[in-house]
Amino acid sequence: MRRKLHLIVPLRAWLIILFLGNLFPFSGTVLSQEPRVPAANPSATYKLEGIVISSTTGEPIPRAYVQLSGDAEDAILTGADGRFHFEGLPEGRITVFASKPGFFENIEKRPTHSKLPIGPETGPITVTLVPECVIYGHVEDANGEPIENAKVGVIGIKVNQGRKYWHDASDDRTDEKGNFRIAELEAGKYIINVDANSSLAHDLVYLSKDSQVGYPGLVYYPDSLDLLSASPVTLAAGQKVQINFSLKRQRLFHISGKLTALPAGSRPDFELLNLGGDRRPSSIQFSPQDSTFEGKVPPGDYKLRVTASDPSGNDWMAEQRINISHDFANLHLLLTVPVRLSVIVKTEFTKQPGAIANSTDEDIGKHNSEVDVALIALDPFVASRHDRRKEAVPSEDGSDSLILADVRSGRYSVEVWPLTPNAYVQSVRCGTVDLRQDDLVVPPGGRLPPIEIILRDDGAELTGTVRNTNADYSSGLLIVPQFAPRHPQTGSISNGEFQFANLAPGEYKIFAFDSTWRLEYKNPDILGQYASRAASITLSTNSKAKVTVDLIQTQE
Amino acid sequence: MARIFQIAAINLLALAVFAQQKDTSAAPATGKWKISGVVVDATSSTPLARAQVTITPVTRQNEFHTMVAGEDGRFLFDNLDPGKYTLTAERKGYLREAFDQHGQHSTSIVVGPKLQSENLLFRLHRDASISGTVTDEQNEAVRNAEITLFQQGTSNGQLVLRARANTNDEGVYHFSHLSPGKYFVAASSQPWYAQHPLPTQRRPYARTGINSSQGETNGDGKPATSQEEDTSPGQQPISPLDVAYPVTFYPAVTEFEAAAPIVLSAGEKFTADLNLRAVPALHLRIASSVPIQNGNVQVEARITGELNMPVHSQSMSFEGGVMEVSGLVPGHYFLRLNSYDGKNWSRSSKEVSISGDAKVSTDEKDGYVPVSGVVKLEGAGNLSGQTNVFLFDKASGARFWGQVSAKNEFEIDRGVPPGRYQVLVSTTGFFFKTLAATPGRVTGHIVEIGPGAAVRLTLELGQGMGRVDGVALKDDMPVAGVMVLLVPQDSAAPPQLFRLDQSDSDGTFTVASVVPGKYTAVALENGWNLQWSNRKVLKPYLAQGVPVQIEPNGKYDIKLKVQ
Repeated sequence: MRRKLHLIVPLRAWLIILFLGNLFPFSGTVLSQEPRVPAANPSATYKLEGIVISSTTGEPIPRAYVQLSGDAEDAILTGADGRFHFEGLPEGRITVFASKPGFFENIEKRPTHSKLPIGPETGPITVTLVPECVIYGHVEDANGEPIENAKVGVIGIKVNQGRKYWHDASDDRTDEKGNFRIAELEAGKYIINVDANSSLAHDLVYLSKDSQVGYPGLVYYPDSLDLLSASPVTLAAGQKVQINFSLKRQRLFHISGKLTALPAGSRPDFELLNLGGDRRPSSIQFSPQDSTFEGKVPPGDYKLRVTASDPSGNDWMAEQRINISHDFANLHLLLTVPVRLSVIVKTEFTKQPGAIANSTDEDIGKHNSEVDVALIALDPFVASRHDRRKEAVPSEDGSDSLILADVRSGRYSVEVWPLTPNAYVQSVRCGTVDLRQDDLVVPPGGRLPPIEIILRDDGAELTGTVRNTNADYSSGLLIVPQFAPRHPQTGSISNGEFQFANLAPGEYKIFAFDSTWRLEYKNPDILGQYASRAASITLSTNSKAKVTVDLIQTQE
Repeated sequence: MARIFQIAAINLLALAVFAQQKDTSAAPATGKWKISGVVVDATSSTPLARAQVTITPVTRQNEFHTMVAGEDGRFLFDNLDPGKYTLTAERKGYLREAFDQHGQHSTSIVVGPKLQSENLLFRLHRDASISGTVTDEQNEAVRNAEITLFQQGTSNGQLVLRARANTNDEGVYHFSHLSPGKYFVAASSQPWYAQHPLPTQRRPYARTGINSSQGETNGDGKPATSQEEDTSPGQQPISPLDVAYPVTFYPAVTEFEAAAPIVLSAGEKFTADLNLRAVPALHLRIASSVPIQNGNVQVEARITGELNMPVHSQSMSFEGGVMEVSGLVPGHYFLRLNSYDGKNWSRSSKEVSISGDAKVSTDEKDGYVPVSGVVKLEGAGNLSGQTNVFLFDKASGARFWGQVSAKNEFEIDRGVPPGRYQVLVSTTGFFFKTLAATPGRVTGHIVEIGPGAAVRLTLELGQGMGRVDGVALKDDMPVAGVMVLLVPQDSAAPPQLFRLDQSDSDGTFTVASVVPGKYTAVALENGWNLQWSNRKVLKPYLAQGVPVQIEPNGKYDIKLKVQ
């Protein structure tokens, strides 16, 4: 019965190869190798041999799966010594994949052009796989008795596209000895929590009216009831760590309050969610006469969510995060319907006047927007459970505006991508708020003016050279507008050079990193640490500029 | 752990005291009764400390009260109203059980004047577990293998799916809180490295070199390199990675008939390790008169005549209008196909036995006879809940079924092979009276289905099931916990017509939902391990039973002598 939640977890960790530099003629730049593929000799065949090793120990990995694709397709398992050997390969280019349960692909060092030339000069290759991490341990109560069926959750802290967020990496239920085991974790930073209220025997007592104590909503390792004071556990590749919890039942606190704006005739549904998003059994009672509610809740960091629907089918909701460490009286929850934001795009084109405006008449009913617009939720907790991203869709009324429907209160980054050739985003505003500088704050039930986007086409062009680069690094260029520091653009470095077009006029900082994979580059504080090594430039309209920038090593 | 329970118990007492004060002034007849006793280990009879004991009034399920027994195993609920209470207890390391529980039956405790409800001996059985490690042909752990636990019933020998689990990263699975009984464990998985190439991908060129060097690098003779010799042109080599695991039963067999039952006693911790051995995977090509461009297939493997298991290890591909199901092992399969020819989707089903790569056509008839029918209700009313009609072949154990629609129509999903079938219907509030079939010969609820023409069944369901109340007596004293059985006098009656109950603490029992007819009622003191569906076993007891004729909506009150 253990691990039943893992039924749908794909077992295989598919892994891509790493070509180790010196062993192998392919280690330089792929692009420079291309001309050296010799003239075709159609009947000749070639061999490919190599070894699969662990990235942490360097030890060979026996029985690893090695797959060739591209101009030759084949697959075998490595021998007991981790070695593999293909023969009879035609001349051409192939990609080599390797996998083994318990290992991940080496994404950070994956070359972007992993087309390996097969020919007379093909030498042995080395493929590294990164071993998985395992968290295992034990959950017991204050008397040292194991707690069965407690849910242990692992929250990963990840950086994706320059932004840090939390995600549910995995979870497990303790067995009757209180033990849990969570494998298939990548190296990284994790917050570990346990919810002991899910144990069946406990639920019965917890819900009985006589009950005065209960396990906290969620306990974060090592012994904290709120997320912010949790100590993250940092796992290196291949690490197996033991995490034990000893839980105490604590007194229940009384919460009470009033619900306002409940639509006539509808019944509110109260949900108490722990920050893992799991609904906790709660005894919250609602009195329709005076619209008040009350109940008893174990301590912890929760979201209290009330939902109701009115006869016309609108979904009303109120949500409040409450960190319960004492009794709460006079909570005030206001039910609201989700906000609907409209987006208006204006163009101030200088080169092709009227081109966009004319096209709308011909393409009636067709999505004919000049931009893609998306809201990215910035509350990392919301982000872990809900769809982090909401895209604007064309308005149903056939007007030119775009609509962001069903937006809940919270803080968002508004991201805009021009679709019109040669266009750049001049400004994004919501009323008086400059959304290039600041985030969009949607208040509960609030009304917001439309988001107004101005596009222009008189942008600048920037080319540049990266010093000290190694052509293995093909991405990692960042160009950060100082007037929109949270909206950097990324670019690729090709043979030590890069190029940007259609840049809004203004001041920029330019960074060249070895890798932006794990870099929180949309956080100005993080980027600020590297500011002294960035190049600065101010661009004016229709200008062309050149810069030289040093490569910054973020990892060794 | 104890703290909350003690507090809860103290509160309970406080409430009870309050209730009593109020009650003494208002209704002196209520609230002065007790249920008390001691929780003991069923095997050793030693008291068990701190078990959680719950009482629930039989007629008011949500008014339960919970307390924790003391260090000496004693529990006490007092100030109870007269009535019947269900008593349950749970404790770490023990099964959660109702008082004197036998399967779905237990003894309820009746409190009231002149009734004994104190000093109960509440026997709990230690729970058992089965765990093990699943390894592959190289003794490496198999992750995420699907483990199925079957239990074989004592009264009818039927296999019941009890639980499923998946192995963890160390190949370990674990089933806990098992009651004593007879179990089987099966593992299904596919090799993590398995590849099932399409026919056109099964080309020899890329493999020619492998074995020449693998001799050195691969000293341990793994399947990856064992079948590489034959690469002569035109012949498709068997890919060393085109392999599959057969469903494997404990101890390490692939036929259910050879599986070893695991007989668990109370508290037993059984280790059942399983070793999976990959075999060359089979490819089943499915063609149709029109090219198949897309589709899906559900595959079930026959484990025993009565038991099929879904197979998840197959993969599917489409090439040249032919659908290919790969990753199968030799065996007997039921396939449900949805295929798309570029315009229309069509459904078909197939039963195949394969021992090598095989081809089937959806155009060929598989000899199954389409069976549909209607359920007619006697009197007013509608079927409530889900109603299913089953066709059961006693000889092979095969079972076919269809769900009854809102219009009371049903269709047996893929038809049935010609044969003799017992027809059964699962429903609530109605009972199965008569069966008719066109064409087909009917005897009672048995229909003979011949080859060829589609068969239509008509099932007539009656209403007005009877009820038998009574008391089980020994030397004129009521006896608790005895098995009360209503045995149809018609020896051809299926086991579904039998009715069972357990006498409560005052010796009373209630057998509801009795299909009208002639029965013999018996009360058996040690009947719980009896294979009661077997008439030969029951015969010696029937002579001392009480005959009861149940009329529609009849209610009867009987006294039974405990045997």
